[in-house]
Amino acid sequence: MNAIRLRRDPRAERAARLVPGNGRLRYDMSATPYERMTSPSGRLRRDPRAERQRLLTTGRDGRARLVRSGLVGQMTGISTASARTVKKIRVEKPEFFIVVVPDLPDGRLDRADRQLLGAARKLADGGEGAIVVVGAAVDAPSLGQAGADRILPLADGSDPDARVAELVAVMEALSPRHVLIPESEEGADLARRLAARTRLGLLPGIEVLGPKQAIRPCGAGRQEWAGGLAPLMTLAPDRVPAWQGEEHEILPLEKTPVPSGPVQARMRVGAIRSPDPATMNLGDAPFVVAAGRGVTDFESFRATVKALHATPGASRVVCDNGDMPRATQVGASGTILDALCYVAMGIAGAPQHLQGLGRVEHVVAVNTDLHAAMVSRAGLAIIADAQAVMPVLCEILAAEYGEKRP
Amino acid sequence: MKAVILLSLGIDPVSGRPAPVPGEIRAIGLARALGATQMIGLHAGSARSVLAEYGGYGLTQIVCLKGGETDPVQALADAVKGNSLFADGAPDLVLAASRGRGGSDMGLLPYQLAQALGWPIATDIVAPLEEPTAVGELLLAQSRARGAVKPVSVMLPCVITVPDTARCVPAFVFALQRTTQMDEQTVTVHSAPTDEGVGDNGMLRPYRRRPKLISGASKDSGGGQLMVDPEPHEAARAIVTHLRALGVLPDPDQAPEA
Amino acid sequence: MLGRTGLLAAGLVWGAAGALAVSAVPAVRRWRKGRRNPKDMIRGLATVPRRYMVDVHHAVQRRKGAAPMHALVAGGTLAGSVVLAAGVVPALRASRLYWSGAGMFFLAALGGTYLVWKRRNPKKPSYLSGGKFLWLPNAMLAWNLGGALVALVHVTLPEQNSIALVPLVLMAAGGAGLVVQVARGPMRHAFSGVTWLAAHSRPERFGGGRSTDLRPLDLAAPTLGTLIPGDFAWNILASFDACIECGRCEQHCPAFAAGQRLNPKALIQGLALSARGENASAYTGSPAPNAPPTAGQGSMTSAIIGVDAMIHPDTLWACTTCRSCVEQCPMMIEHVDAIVDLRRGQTLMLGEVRPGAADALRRLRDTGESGGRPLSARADGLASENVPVLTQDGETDVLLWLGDGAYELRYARTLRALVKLLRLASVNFAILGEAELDCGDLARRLGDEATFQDLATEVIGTLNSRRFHRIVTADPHALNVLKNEYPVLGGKWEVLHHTTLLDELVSSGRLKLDARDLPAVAYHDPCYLGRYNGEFDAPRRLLAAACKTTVEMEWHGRQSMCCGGGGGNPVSDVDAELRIPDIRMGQASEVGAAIVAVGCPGCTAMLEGVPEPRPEVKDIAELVLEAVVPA
Repeated sequence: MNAIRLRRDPRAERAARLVPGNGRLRYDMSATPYERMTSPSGRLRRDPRAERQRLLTTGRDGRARLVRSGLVGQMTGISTASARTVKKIRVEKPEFFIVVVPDLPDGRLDRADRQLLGAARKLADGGEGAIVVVGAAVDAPSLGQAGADRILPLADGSDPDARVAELVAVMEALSPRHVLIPESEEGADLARRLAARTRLGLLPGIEVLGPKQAIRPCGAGRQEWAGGLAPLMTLAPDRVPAWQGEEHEILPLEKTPVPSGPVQARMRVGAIRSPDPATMNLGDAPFVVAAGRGVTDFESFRATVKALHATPGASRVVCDNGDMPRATQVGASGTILDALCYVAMGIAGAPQHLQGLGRVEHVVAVNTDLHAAMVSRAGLAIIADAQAVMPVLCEILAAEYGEKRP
Repeated sequence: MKAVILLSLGIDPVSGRPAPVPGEIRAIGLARALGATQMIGLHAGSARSVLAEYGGYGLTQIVCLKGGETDPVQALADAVKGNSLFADGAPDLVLAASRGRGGSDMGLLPYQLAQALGWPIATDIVAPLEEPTAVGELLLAQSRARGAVKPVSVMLPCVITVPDTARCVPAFVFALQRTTQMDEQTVTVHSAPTDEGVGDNGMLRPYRRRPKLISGASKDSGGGQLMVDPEPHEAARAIVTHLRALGVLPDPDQAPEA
Repeated sequence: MLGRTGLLAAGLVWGAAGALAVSAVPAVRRWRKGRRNPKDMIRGLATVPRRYMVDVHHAVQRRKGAAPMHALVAGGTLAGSVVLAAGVVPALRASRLYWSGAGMFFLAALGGTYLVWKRRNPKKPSYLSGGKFLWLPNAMLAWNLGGALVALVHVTLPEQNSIALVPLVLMAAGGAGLVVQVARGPMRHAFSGVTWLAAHSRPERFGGGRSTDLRPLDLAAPTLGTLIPGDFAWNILASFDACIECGRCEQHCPAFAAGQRLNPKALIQGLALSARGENASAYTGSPAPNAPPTAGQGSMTSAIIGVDAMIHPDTLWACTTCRSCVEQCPMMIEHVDAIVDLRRGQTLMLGEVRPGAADALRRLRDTGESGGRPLSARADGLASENVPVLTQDGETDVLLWLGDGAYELRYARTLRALVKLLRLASVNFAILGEAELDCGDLARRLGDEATFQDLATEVIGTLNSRRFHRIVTADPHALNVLKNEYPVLGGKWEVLHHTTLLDELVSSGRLKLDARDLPAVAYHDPCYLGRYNGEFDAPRRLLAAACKTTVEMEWHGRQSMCCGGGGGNPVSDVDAELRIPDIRMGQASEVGAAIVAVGCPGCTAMLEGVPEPRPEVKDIAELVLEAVVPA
């Protein structure tokens, strides 16, 4: 008896033949719905990469979306075509203020900051509110596009308590209805310092924010608290969309805070120190280049890792063979990565290994096997011999960076 | 150095069973790494058996402040300032988890305690930094994303919070847990003044998982660019271009990283 | 003096016997420093001849030539010497028959002596030790040749028996050598072995029985497990001295084969040396492969494990608890018990476990699951099968214990096959669903008896609150714990491995199989099913009914080799040269197997982790399902 019976799914086959277009449904009947692949024991193998590719489209906000309903064409961009109005929104006589304290890494609004402003906009537009961004100087247009109405520059100090004192002065001057801070490393700390100092209510790590209600997880993430808003709130990342509406005009602030007196310095926070990629903990490394069975020349591999300024990793087999130290093993029985980018040199991608990719965002695979699991996980897949690619990669990097990189 | 470790009643996020809070376990390890010679666990509330598990991680004495749960900040501050914990004077350090696990999980209490004690608070500390520092100061490594650290120098006495990601996990020794001494003291605190703005207007319910926003630049799970049998040079060039687009490789004209 | 050489010879034997008796005194004194463990020695000693002739002999004869050697040299020397000792009776000394009898025995012993010499000559095999062993044949030769010549003189020239003084001197020298070998050398094995066989910690093993369960620990005891030799029970200390360094354990140890820093023989010798306060340099066999050096010094009251002690910690965590060494040991030494005792000391008293194991133990304590996965997700792989969950109100015939393999996609496939088979055979069954916790196997093998007992208490409570007739599991580790280790804690049920149940269903005709024409299939015995629970036949019967071509690996059945997945080995970050599953798959390929049949989630995961090309890995349940003929 054969335990696996092949079943046709006419709906899925139809969806698979759908050709992405602008607004009209088109089917390519010559396309095979699935490339049927079988394992040695006769089990069917899916091709998740191809299946995903078929479902991928671009949403109206320009973000990548997966459409599983089969109506790919109908979901594609509309907003891009609409003409942009030149007029900016002005909030001239605000009834209240919402103070937003973005992180501004490198002096620019990041993704979380923009989402914070989007959330603030929701609260401000419930009435006639104005958003005051408190932070280092940022160019007005980008702030306006993100939804801000006022800017209040803040000195950048090394003592978090001094920063809190400055914010307290701002709050005394403006009496904001809410203060919004991102639940990021720096923001989370600042918000709690502020709450402890002012004894104002704090709702940290909000995941759902409306004009009247906020929801945040608690109880070890098994419960959530839903209730009214608080004076101080921090926003979890990727929960509230950034401001997509018209640009706001930055107007001068009506009130200026009285500078606070000097704070007794009890602590100093120094400049951030990045770890050496060659020796840092693999689980923390942002950029990992790993070798698998497709790599035979480990001198060349190590040179490539060094040239890329990456952290070395390896598959289990490579560690078993003693070609790379055990500490570099990626996978369920090794290290689970949290990298931004993972370059897999000659790694087929056994399930145990793929488990180690955990939260890796981008994968580059160099492998000779087109059907390797790693290839289907990769954002850039190169079907080639890693041994041949590595030296050329080193050459290119050496030529471009010369002596500038260690 | 004398250290107080704040202990709470944690639960395991997956199973919901009572379990020690990871940050508090690591706080014990960090206190040891900072050279604490005496350590006491302090819990605002009645003694519970789950607290005994901290004993296995190296706390030989745990003090529970029965009745302190109505205003933990005041109860803890009184206990720390009251000089009754250690025979030979006030503690130099109070360590806590950056976040609790099982309660409100706000991570606010250590800040409020620092405020009540008038002590500075250093947060997300994962290790001591072995560098020269002034007398009466601690130099600590504050954990930041992707393995980076910020040096934090802080005056003693101080409050320190420890994140779940710190590596200073002390070994669990069952034999130690057996000998841990758990004392319960009854304390009286005035009922807590509720923080301005957050009333009892909320409700607790089971957590609902909601989809996060995905960005165009987030996680690729296949469906990317595919090159079959390119020339090695072409392949290497594609990798460099791709890595630059992701921002993990700097542009050649940019100043190199240190 | 003239004419009295016969009496002298008898005196010599008595003297040697006296010297041997005196030499045993320090050993007995040493053992008495161990933990008290009263044993009925009279009854024990009475069983020794049978235990020796049956159980020990079975193990000895597995190595070619070993049994005849022992029979000749031990039998000949003992018998010859006893006969000589009887020469104190004047009438015997006057009899030629008596002397020729003695001579025959010594001649036999000489043959045995030659065999002893031949073992290490011209080249000593790696599994045997050197040192004092190298001159042992000389002492035997001197004693036995001397004895034979004395007898010869008395037979041929009884009137001029003073000539016998020359061989008597030779015999005396040999006797002195043998006394040294027993008092201070490896031949202490003779006396210690008898003591150990009489006071064995698992007497159930003799006469073909089985005893494999780990014993519960009193968690209120001052010392938990073993830190110093004095923490071992006295008879266990005797068992270490009983080791004759034959190296059978070493030859069959999967960890040793993979270069995993463990050599069971070196371990037992290390324990014996620690107890005797000797230096590690006194051991002359192969060391634990790649183990970093230690101080190599110990005493009855100092730590055994540690870089500054006798045995390196890595050695302890390299063991897969497969019991292969125990199975092979002719002296019936309990290596795994010793290792688990030492692990208990390290884990419970010192918290010295490997980081990966510490994480797993923490998860077990806090979540009741070694991977920290939700208990509700265990049966996710069976979602398509709609298996009923047994509640406190329900009742079922078979309770299916899923085990932690169920979380893996691969093993869920096996479980689905099993569920389909149970349905086909109309078996009434159910699962525990969310109420199933980890059974505690991993915690116990890692020495964390406290966590094991916590888990076991909870599991037993759950199972005692449900109504079912028997438990069936596809996980031999769970089988072993539920069946053998829970009874003393208050959980007694009939527990079966799924192959046992399937075999029952096939032989009773409730499942009909049509053997398929597959490429050669080899069955890999899981340690915890075979050696631990004696189930070798049911899986083979099933396999024979489901597949036309079956082959056996060289190491199979009782001699089967571990997959490397037991004893917490996979979570203990063990350093190795090779991987145990790679070696095992190599053995399967050697006999031409294209499919390896398994019956354990651990084996499945380990053997499937071997890089391809390799034989395909299939659970017996999967192979049986494919061969089922619909009724």
